[in-house]
Amino acid sequence: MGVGLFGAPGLAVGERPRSGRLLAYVRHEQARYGYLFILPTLGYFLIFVAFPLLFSFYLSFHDWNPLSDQRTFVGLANYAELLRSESFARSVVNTALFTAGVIGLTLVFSLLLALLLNQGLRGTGLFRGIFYSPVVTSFVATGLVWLWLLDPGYGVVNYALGLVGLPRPGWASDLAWALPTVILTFAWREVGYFTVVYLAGLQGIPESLKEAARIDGANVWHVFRHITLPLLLPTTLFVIVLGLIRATQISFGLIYVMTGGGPVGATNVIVLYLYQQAFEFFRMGYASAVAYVLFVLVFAATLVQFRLLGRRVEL
Amino acid sequence: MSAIDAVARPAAAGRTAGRSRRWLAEAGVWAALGLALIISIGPGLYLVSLSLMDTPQIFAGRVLAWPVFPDNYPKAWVATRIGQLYWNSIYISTVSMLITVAISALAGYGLARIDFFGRRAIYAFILIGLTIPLQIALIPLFANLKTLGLLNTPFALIGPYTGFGLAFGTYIMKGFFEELPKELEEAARIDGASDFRIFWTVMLPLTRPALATIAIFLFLQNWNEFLFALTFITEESRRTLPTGIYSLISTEFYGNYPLLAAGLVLFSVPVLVLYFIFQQQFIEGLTAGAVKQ
Repeated sequence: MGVGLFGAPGLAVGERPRSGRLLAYVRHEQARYGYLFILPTLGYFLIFVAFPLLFSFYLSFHDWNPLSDQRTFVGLANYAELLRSESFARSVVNTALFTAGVIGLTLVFSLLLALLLNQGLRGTGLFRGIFYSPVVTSFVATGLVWLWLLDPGYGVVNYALGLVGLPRPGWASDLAWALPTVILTFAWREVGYFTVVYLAGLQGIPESLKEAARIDGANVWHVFRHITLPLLLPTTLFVIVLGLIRATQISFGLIYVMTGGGPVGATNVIVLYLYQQAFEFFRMGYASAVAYVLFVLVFAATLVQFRLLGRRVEL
Repeated sequence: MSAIDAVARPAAAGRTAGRSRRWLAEAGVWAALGLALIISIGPGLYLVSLSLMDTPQIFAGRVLAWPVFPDNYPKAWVATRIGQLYWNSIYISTVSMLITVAISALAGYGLARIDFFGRRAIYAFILIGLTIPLQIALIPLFANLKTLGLLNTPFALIGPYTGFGLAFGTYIMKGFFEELPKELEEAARIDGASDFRIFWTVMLPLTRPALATIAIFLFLQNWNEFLFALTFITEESRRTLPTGIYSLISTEFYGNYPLLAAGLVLFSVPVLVLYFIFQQQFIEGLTAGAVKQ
């Protein structure tokens, strides 16, 4: 942890400020500078993040159509409607399935890839760089390419499946397959991201521990199961927290481009539902209530996981 | 070293047997990596291939373009408004990135190295910004931008992008400033330098790697952002690349795959080039949170 010039209370053990009038003066001057340094960021943050957060809360108790520009107070009606709405319930279930599917696939495959890259073979640094590269491209590009690859009629994937005699699903346009399709595509992109995270975690495990276990006669599986995996727990929790945040927050673009929430709501996740209510049906108040429920869900989940994370790391 | 050695070790009694097992294990790792490589970059290569085909090749279901039609690129550039979209994207992404880097460096310094009342509370407050779903700000921002008549202006995106980039920027900068030795600062102070001078001439130049990390990370994030861009910019000529290209696809160029593929390649190449040049900084920024719990 860091240390300011005179030591931050509670942060810097054994870095107590020295006494003296000059120092007290400097310290006072410093505090003023502190506020100056933080001011632009704080101001900006208040305007673009904190204020919208409060305004959204206010809006969620109103009925507001931006076209007529009439804002009427409706109390908890938006929240009441939301709890009764079947399509909202569906979007919550879809979001849960999407998130669970993406995190499950990502955990397994990114750990696997990280383990392969961590074998110390030559040239694997390049592989790491390449595996990550899909992450920097836009969902518009990746979503469309996969849509074309998975085209039920002309797509390369179905052509290949046909060659080996496997069934050829309708992918994004099929009621049952649409959600798995967006999960697969999103996970495909996320694996690169979390491979890098896992690799960093793996490289933090001291080689001597594994060496000691091997001398005691442990085989590859034992070393992995009893040393690598437990020591990767903080990394795994980090991956789950971040995976959850990313799956709920940044998946919008991909799903919007690939299916637009369809067919018949099969891939309609909360964020998409929110967008449709606000900008297709112009129900801004109701959509704000949806936003708040989303916020509370994500925040609660993150808090729980940070708790777990904090406890494990202290061990 | 790791699994491979462990596989080889039990067989070490017979030298040759050990060596061949090791060779097998290594070949297995390479095979798995090769498969992963195909899955990882195959779609990208397929896109490039599509962009070099003519329409009959596409409908014949070809994977590799032959003969190639490189003039899809100039065609895509001229027929679509992609030049304008490019400029919009570069302008918005860069301006927002510069503002974020500048003011989050200030904030990071203040939070890391100056002791003032309430700084921990302020830091915690800013960190909340890392977990807030962007979508919750969507409607209020839309409402305010509309009231102020700022929809369809570059500011409609520069403002929010900067606001949401600040939490990340401040987090990275604070962490970096904390690592710098305090002797540097004290020496400058004894020489009579002011706080701002110390920040500007002594400390800031040392944080160049962190600045680069934030700059590249935010630029790429802004470049690809979709939801705000979709909502706050609805005039075609003012769109950024992601929503602009999407709009082309769903309207006048619907089904014109070669042209669209060329457009998507043109859209993706700049970020890929940036990424491969600044890979080190980029991955450091990414793993900062993972390793430094």
